[in-house]
Amino acid sequence: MFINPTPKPMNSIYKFIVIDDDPVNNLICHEFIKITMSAPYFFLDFTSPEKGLAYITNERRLHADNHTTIILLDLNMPGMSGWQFMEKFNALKEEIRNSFSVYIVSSSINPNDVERAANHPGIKGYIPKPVTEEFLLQITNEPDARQKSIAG
Amino acid sequence: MKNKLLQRQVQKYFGDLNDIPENLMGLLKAVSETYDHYEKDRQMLERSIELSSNEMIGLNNQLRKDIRARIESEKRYRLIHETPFLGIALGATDGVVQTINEAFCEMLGYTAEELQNRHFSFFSHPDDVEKEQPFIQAMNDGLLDSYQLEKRYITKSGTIIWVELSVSCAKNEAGEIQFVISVVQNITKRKNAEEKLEKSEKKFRALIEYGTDIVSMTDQDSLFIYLSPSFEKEFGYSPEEYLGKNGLDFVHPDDFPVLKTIRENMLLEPGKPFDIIYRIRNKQGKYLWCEGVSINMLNVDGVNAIVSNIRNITNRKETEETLEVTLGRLKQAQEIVHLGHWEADLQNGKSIWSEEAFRIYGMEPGEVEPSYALFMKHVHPDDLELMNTIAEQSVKNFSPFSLHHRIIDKKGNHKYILSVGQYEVDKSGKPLRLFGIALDLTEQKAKEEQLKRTEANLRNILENTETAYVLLDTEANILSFNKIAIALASDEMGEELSVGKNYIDIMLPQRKEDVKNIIDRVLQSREKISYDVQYEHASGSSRWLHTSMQPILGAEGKLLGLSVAATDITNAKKTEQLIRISNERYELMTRATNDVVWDWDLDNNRMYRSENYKQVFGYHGGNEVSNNNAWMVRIHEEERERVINHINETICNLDAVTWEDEYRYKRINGEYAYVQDRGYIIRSKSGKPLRIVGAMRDISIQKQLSVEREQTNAELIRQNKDLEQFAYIVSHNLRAPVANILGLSKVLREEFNDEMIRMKCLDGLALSVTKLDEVIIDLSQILKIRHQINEEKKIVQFSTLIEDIKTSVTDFIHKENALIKTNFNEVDEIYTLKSYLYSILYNLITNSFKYRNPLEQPVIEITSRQTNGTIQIIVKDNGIGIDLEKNGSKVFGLYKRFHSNIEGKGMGLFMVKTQIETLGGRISIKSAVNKGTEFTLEFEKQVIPGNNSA
Repeated sequence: MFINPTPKPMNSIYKFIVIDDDPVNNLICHEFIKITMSAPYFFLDFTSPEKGLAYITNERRLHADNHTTIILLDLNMPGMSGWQFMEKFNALKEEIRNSFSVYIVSSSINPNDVERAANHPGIKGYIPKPVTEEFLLQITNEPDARQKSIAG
Repeated sequence: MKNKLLQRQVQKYFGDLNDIPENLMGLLKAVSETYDHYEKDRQMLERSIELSSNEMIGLNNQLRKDIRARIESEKRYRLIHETPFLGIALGATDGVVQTINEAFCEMLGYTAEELQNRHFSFFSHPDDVEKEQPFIQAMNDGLLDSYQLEKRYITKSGTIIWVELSVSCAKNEAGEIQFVISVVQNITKRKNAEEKLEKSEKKFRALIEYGTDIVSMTDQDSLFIYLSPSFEKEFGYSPEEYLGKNGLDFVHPDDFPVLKTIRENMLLEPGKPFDIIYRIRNKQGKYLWCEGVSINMLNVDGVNAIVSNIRNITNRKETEETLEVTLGRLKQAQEIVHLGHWEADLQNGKSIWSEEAFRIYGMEPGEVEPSYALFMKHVHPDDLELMNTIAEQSVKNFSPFSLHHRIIDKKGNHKYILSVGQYEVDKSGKPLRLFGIALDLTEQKAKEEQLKRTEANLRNILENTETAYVLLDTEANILSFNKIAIALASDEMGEELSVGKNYIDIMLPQRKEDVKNIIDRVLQSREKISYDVQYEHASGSSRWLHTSMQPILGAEGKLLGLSVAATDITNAKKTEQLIRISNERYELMTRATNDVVWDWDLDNNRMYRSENYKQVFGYHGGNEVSNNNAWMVRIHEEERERVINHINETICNLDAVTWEDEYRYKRINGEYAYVQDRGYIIRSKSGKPLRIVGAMRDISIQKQLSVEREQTNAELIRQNKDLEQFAYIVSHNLRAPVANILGLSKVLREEFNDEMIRMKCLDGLALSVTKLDEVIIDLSQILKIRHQINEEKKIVQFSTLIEDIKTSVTDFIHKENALIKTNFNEVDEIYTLKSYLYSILYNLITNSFKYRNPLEQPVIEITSRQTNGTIQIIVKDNGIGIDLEKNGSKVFGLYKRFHSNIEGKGMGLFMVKTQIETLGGRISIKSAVNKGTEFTLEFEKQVIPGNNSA
């Protein structure tokens, strides 16, 4: 498990795209982001990785250095696995790729998968399901809202 | 005037011829003719003498030559000393001497004064006076002017001399005789010779008539005119048979050419004697050798024939031939032994060397004049002093001497010579001759040297061995021995070997009897006897000797003695013992192991194998030597070439010391044993492989175990994979719902959740829990397949099974108008677990329905096939297919789903595979997107126990 944070986009908000064939996971992700994020954010989820890929490829509004988008990607999906998704993703133009930070969110705790992800260029982190507040805070460097509130 | 000699004489007495009156010239002319006549006679005489010397002819050529030489010199003598001084006297017609010359006086021994005015009868022989009277009368009567007469005078000393008298008268113009001239010539010697001739002729005639020599006379056509009676005696022909016949008719045809040449020369040179030698046929037809001399006397008056004097030399010829052979042999003998003889005449210092003597000194016979100096010149410088010393000693009392010395012959060869010399001394003790022989001993010397060398070599060999040799005579007395023998005798017997000692005497007391017996046996049997004997030492050690005694046989099998050879074999004995122990150890070892120990002699392709060969592989031939071809034949044919190539390569590789291989080897019962074979290659110094010694181990059991182990390993690997799958299930499929539950429960805990979200979360929880349950059920099902094979196998009919499945999916078939076609003509049954096969086929059929092509009628074709030992079931559909290039490796994985739009959890094919593998079968897939899918199931055809009909 590893996490490289994605700095908050300049003059923009955090954008999250969850790609997982399991809608329950997508729900969980959405709810945790809601809980964690104090600032406004953008959220979108896909149960089909093909559709998710098409979206990030074609949605030109996302394609800017100062509009970094966080992708939470599942590995085990029928039709297109997370790895296959990354192959396609890496084939995209560099300026498009640079506007995305990909994190693997998988139910697998297989160290082979973790290692593979760590060595994969373009993958910034790996966490086993379910996503947690801590994870989201780490990748976003957001101040802990609850601690803040507790402290505050 | 023809005769020059006469001319000189006339000039001496009368001055210049021109002053001589004409009538006197006529007289001189007559005298000259007489003189010529006389010459002719003299020749005749000489010839006669030559002819009469026939008794000597035939002795040998040399002699004849001598005679001829003497005749020649006599001729010359006569010419010089017997010049005929002519006596001349002038007288009156009455016969009274008026003037008389000095020669006449000398002839008669009177002075001129004493003969002055004497009548010629005063000194004439009385008998001849009367004889002359008629001539004088006739002259006085004017009937003749001159006459010649041979008559005798009596000298003053009273001796009678013969003279040839020529009387001429000088007439005046009136024809009256004025004076008479008498010219006399002393012919006494001739007369005497004539008398002699007469006498000898008688003698020779007798010789001719009664001698063995044959005298023949032939005319110029070679016809016989005369043959002496001896011819008849020798050859048996009567005069009628040869007279008038051609002489050549009696001659051997082979001798014609020579005789012809001689005859031609003879005709050209009358009077010259020619030696002849030829064969004459006798009346009996046998040819006899004859030798003689022939002279052409055709032009000699009274002879007019070719006169030959011959004699039968057949006997001599034969003797001569024998002698020649004998002499030849002697010469040959001298040549062979290189024996030369020499002699020195001490009177005149001349030396004679024989032919071989010259050859010994490297010269051609007669090449130089032999001499003492020549002899000394060739003496080897180192032997010169010796030679001089001996010569000095020998010359003191003329004693015989003999010495060996070396010479350097003319060609520079060194030679060994034996010179022996002896003096011949006269009665007074004065040395006359020194004679002796020279014997060339070079070859013998060389042989002797060779022999010495050989002897030295033999001695060296004898001394250079580890074997002790002692030579004994028939009485066992020591004759000779080598150094080792000395050492051995001293070490073991404390005795010193010496020539003459008795061998048995020096033996240790306890050995004496044995040794004596052995020697007796060897001498008696004349055969070699060998034995080993041990000498115990006080120190506790011992020495083993291998001794052999061999009789020595001389010429004609004569027993000369015996040789004893003793070799220290202590080490060999020790080694032998070690070998025996090691052999025993080896024997025991081979008995204790299953390794077949072998020893392969590569040169002869002979193989020795230890006894357990039979025990291990069942073949005879253990512990004995046999041809090794069978080995190759017994190697499994699939491996034979490889194994043989490998061993050949190893043998050929000079660096290789060991060979090792594993292969299958046929037992006598036809089964193959797995063997591990190792060999150690023994090579010669040059690397040539000589033998391979090795051990062949039957590793069939190990091999079987190893196969089982491999199977176990494969099983373990498979199980490991399954475990990995489990791990994966745990990490993903099992964790996924758990993670969801975890996540949802956290969300639910949040206070600010609105009702809507709470509901969603609760739904999610319910879904996740259900999923979790499904997974657990699946897993338990998988585990059940793996571990519950309690069901008994039975014969399952494909057709029946498919009908059962059809029944259970009948709703689907109706709904989708699906078609299941079957063809089990080739094979319709299989011995297996029915429930498994049902489950497998059910899964495949429902899988096909699930992934049907929605645009087409679903068609499933199921066929069975039977191949060598396997049964195949092929399930083919016309569904949407799978992209195998993408997903080939994952098709049969657990929870692998390839179609997101179709319900499925990726259990079906995993379960199918698991079940097939549990039955010991395999499954393979052929598929392409939209081209349908074809599964091939393959099972080992299993022997049905207790069912003979199957």
